[in-house]
Amino acid sequence: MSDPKHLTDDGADASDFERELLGAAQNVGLSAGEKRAIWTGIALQAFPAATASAAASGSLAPGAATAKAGLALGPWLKGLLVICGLAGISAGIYGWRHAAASRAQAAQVASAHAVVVASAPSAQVAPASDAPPATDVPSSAAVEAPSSASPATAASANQNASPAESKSALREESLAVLEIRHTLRAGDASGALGLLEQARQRFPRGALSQEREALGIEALAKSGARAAAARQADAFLRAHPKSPYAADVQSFQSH
Amino acid sequence: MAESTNRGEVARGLLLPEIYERHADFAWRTLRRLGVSEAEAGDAVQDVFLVVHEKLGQFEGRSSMTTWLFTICRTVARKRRRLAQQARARDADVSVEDELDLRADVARAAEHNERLALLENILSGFEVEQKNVFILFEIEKLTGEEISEALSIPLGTVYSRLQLARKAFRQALTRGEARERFSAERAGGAP
Repeated sequence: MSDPKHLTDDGADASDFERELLGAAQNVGLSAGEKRAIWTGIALQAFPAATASAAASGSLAPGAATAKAGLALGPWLKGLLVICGLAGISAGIYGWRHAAASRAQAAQVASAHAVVVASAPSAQVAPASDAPPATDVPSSAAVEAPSSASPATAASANQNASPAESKSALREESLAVLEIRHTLRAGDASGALGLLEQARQRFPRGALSQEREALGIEALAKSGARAAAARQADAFLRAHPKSPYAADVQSFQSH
Repeated sequence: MAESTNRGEVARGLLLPEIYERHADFAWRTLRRLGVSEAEAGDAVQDVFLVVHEKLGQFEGRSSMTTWLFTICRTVARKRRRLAQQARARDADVSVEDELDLRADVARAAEHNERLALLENILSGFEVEQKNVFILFEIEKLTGEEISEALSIPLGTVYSRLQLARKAFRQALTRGEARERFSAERAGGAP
């Protein structure tokens, strides 16, 4: 048995009128604004859900948990950025469910956003974890940023945090990564590198560290430090050969 | 737009934003057609994609994405119908049956209103089983196999219902056209 053609397919035995009638119902859907707003609601709720489940499965080694969460959330953030736009996130956040909850989340997101923008390290600290040091990185943006803000909020981001804390830490981290991406896409590679430094300090073992480091490699290349970018790309691919960002990173390896 | 997708489309790489981008309209239409009110449809779409997010890891293309989404929509719509029914216990209009219909589509699309109204009118005269198959096949362009799985009926039953529904669709149109000719002639004959 095989399917007959759908009446609206080319070559199907249907009159123009039949096609028009059925076609009318095929074109019903959400407006762009509704689609965006619903997505924002989904994004805000799916985030903490993802962290909670990663944190709940305590059997996972920290490294595995990180990789898993990175896989689940990374390209997700791209979607968030593409669909909502960063400005939309901080200014026009609007979930469908429970207006009050949405408002609270919006406030959290907005404040996380503010933290990312405002806080800068007062001294240059070597990048943590597995990322090779970026010695030839211009870091003018970090210098320009105010150096008085405290990085305290980030300290709670790690292991011993309660589920609620780790949810909000992930949200902050995701905002930080979004900010890096946004800055990089806006053409400000050195600004992105400055933000990246901050993110490394605030979330040394963050769930989104792979996405962050992949962005860092791109930022390095775009800031002119191609050799350093290539070295970091090699190191990244050695450490995370199956990363969802591997393909992005490969393009910065030396050939 | 109706997008029918192939088995196994959900490789590991397909992620929530892409799925949402492609299928949000389908989910919305399906929920509305399953009786979720316009006011609740946004929340319901959100529920559907949160389930997708939660279960995507276990899904791995065991059925087509559209089939899977349809079954999630049906569960979400049932839950909301039940809640609506509890909230308005006296309202006899709240159906507990999984019946697709196009009343919501008519309310929605201003520019297609007349055609949609006619289509809805025709389909409202169908048997529920035939109508469900007809909407999924001819409007959402699911495959026979997808419908078989989504509605838990044998493929042969999908085809026979589709055939009956098509026949009814054409008969209704012919009757409609005859009526139109008749009224046009009357209008022309009696100035």
